[in-house]
Amino acid sequence: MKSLLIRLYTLSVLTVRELLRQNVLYLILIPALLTLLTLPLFANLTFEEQIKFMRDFCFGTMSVFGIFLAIIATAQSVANDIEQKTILTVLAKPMGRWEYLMGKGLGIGFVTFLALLILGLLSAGLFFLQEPKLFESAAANATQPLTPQDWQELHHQLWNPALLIAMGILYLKLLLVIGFTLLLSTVASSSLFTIFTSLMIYMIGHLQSTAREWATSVDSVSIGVKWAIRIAAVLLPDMSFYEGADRILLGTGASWMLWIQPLSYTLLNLAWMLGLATWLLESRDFR
Amino acid sequence: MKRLLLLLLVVVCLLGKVALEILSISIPHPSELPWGKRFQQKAIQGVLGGFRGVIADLSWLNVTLDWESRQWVRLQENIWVSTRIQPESLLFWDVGAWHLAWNAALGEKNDVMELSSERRRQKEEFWVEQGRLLLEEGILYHPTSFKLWLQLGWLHQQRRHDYQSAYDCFLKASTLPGAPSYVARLAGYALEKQGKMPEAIEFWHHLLETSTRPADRDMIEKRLLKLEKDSTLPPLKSLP
Repeated sequence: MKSLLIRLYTLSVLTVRELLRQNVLYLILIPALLTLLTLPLFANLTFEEQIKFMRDFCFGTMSVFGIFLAIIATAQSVANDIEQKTILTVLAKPMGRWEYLMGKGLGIGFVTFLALLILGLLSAGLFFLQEPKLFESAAANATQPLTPQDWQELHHQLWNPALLIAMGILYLKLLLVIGFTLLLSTVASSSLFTIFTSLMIYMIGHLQSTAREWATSVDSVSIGVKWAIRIAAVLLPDMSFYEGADRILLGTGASWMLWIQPLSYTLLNLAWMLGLATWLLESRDFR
Repeated sequence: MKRLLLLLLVVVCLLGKVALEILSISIPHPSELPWGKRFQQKAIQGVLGGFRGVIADLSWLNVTLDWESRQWVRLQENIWVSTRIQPESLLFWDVGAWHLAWNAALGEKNDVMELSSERRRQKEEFWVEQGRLLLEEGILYHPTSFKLWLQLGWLHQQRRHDYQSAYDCFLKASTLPGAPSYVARLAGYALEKQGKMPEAIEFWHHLLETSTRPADRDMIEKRLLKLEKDSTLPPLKSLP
């Protein structure tokens, strides 16, 4: 068990080093940071509108750049190993192919976490800098002097701890994206194919729950279409499991329970994806 | 053997995934939106990804600018874009309807460039109607939000002087989760505005029975005393 953990640790550290050396993290992180730094330019709104805008802006930046990072880093990492034949050296060691995939996934997961952490800290810094101006405008627009309770409410709106849950849900979503990109990269011959297919799967993932609901509740849908949607539902990820993050951002629902469903869904998906990816990798001939 | 185990793991996890998805479907969907609108929303979510909220907000920034420059048609277009991209945001429906039914309508009513008072009245009515339609559409997306019903009630009361519809909306809003206690009282005032004094008195009595907060009970009692004192007058004359 200890040796397994050491192998996984070594492989994930190697993956992190490789990603840092390839500058994938910086290439995605720098535009994301620059995007976040434009936030103070949009300050012509009421308190409520401004809070919503700041949350959407910071979370949107984390989400979009996070997804690009997860897909590009995963697609590049495995494709490079295959292209440069590094995979032969790695797999020649006493190491299972699932260990190789898991080590890769852990390394990419760590880099994604690092990126989210940096973007999250910068967002918090921007919130902190905007705070006095925001409270000033809230006090100026209020019809009567604000009570200590009102101030507490305003403070809570800005520094709502539920935002951490939203970030956690976003991270789970990124782990799922890493999972299916890793699965695709075990069969794909080019990283470009993996990147585009992963993006398509990500988009379909947003539509599939509604398609499934439609197929099960509308009688006029043909049996062929119903079965096609069912098969797609089994194989493709359903991104509606991560909508809790949107609800938190809009202030329409925040509970620690929002974690449970996306967490269990991500773990189940990662497990079958890892199993299938291992199988596919074992069937693949790298000579 | 190893491959068989792998296959088993894949099948078991896939079954678990399907079970989770079936469970999530069996939870009743609060929205009564038609399928077309639901697909539209999900497609926008998929294509714009995390930046959906930001794009909706940027369009909303233009709403504020259009309001300042009194560009009512452009204002409505930008409200339309924001509400289509992110209909989950209550703010867009609520404040958007206020812009249309109050700011745009009053802007047209007081437009010094329009000489015909009839045309000014028609334009005012048009924008009030647009505000009403926007709120009614917003309610489709947020059927359990008291805020939109409350805003619709205000719109009927202040902009259309339709007190019966205002009463219906305030009453509906008061039954929804999170509604403050004053919302139910607004329904009582709307009944009074219609001159339906016996019904209003009965309503206030019922509200008194169901209210638990001392401050609310105090206000209702005062209102009832006033109404019962004035009820000897013909209903319409007892209005403030």
